Amino acid sequence: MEARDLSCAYDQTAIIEHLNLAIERNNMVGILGPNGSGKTTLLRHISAALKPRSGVVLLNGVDVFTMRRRMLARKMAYVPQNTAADFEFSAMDVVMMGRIPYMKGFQSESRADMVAVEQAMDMTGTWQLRDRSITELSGGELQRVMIARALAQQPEVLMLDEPTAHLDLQFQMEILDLLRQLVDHHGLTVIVVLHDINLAVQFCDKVVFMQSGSIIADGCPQDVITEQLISDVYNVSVSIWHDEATGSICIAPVRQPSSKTSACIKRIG
Amino acid sequence: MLAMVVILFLSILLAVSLGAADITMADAFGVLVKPLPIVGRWVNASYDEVYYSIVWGIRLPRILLAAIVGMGLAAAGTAFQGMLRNPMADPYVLGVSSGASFGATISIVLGIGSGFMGLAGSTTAAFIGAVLTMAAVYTLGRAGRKSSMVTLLLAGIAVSSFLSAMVSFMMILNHDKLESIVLWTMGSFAMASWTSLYISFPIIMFGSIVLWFMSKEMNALLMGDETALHLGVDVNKVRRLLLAVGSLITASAVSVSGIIGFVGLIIPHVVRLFTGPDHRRLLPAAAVSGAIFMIISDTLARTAMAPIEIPVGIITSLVGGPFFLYLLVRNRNAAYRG
Repeated sequence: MEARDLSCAYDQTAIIEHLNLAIERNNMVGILGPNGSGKTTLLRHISAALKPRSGVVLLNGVDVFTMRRRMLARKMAYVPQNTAADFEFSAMDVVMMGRIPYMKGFQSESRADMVAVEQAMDMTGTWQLRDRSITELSGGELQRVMIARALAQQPEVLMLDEPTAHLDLQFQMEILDLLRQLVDHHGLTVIVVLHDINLAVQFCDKVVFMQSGSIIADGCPQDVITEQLISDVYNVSVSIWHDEATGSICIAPVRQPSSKTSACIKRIG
Repeated sequence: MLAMVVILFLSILLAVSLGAADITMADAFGVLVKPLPIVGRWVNASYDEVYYSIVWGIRLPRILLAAIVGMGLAAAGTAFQGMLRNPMADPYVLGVSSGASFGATISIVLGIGSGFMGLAGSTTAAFIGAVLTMAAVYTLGRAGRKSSMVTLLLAGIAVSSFLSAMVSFMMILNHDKLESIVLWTMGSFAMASWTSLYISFPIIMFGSIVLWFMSKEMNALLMGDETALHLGVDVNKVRRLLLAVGSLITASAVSVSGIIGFVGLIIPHVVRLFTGPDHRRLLPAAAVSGAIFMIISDTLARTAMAPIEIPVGIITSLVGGPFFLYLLVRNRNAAYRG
């Protein structure tokens, strides 16, 4: 998967300019960066949801904008940040929607569709939720059902926009564990927008740091992440150390005494 | 579904037998079946010529028209609610109804008695008014920076109130035509004929099948535009098609019957309480329910206070409103969702 010289804009405002990105098959790639740096915009463009102003996005060497939507949906699946769950579909109905790219008109579910849905629900541990209405599911359960729906599309590339937002620590780990397994055991390529750098470091093969619509750094997390980079991208000072328990690097923000607080401290002192 | 179709046929039969001239249900069945090829041979009894003209000439076209209009409004309402993810949407969101009454009012004021292919002048004018309005709203809604659904709905509301004001204005200027205009707007099947059926039936039937054909896409749209897009649904194209087909159905329904409220808004909600939101089941169920509900309402309209006829739009809201509230309260625990 590859983006070449991608420039994107909403109306007249340029969001991303001349961006190049290559993603190898069977990798888990984390996209990081501050709010408004263009992470979601990038994901929307490489998933062909929005047309870029210039540049191309290639999937296995084929321009995604020349592919028919149904065909593209068989190669690429996307889990958006917020999914409407206002209607009382059962979890199974929702996962079955992942088969829409394979069905035509009045055609009903085939044996192959059923197998794909069962597999997807099995992988995500949502099979026991199959008859529950999605309106009753917890945030973590709903997110897993949405991932199951994407997997039912039997894609090569799975993209997720902050799948761990609004989830507690246990569910965050569950979701990322699941994504890692999809890469390791099922040959998928996963592209995921994340906020938590520590989690990204632990789970991703490659991280991409974005700032104001450009890629500042990309590569293996251990090589790329430095105190200087984080302070450049997020404008905060951090301390980075190697952690024995996680076996990877750890990052913690360091509080800078602001002028107001330091004045306060001086007075007390 | 099969049970519902049986109920539909039973309500047609019941409606045929009820009216000023007394016909038993058995006689009604015989008269209905006898002229049909093949199955007609099984009926041995013979009936008075008058029965044939009452059943085939007067009652049946009216009942079938009520059925097809009820079906069209319910199907269009279901599609609009699903596609716009808005429980308040009804078949008239694009201003089709006010366009139709504008057209009808002009024809009544100008005294145009007959129109296209033997249809009444008001029917033809209403259909033209409805389609033109639909096209205008559609164009205006896309004129903005982005073709968003909100712009489209607002354009619908604006055009709608403009045309309603025009209708009121014409009513003030033409006091003598006031009653016919008001009666037209309230909706009635009293003017039903085989001709109006020949025109509306193919459009509504074909349109509803097209809507049903798009069920999976509508289901995907319920999950949000972004999700639908990544399921391979061309969101904008599908929405435009659904809007156009739904409005065309509504235009043909309104032009033969006037503006009948409530059916297109509430029937989808009632049926959704039983079938769930999956359009593959919801849409046909709503269509058949709309037909049954409209037949019953129209039968009440012409028999309840005979010989005075109550406008059917009054019946649909009068009977349907409390019934829907009852269902809402009964299903309170089942977490009602739009």
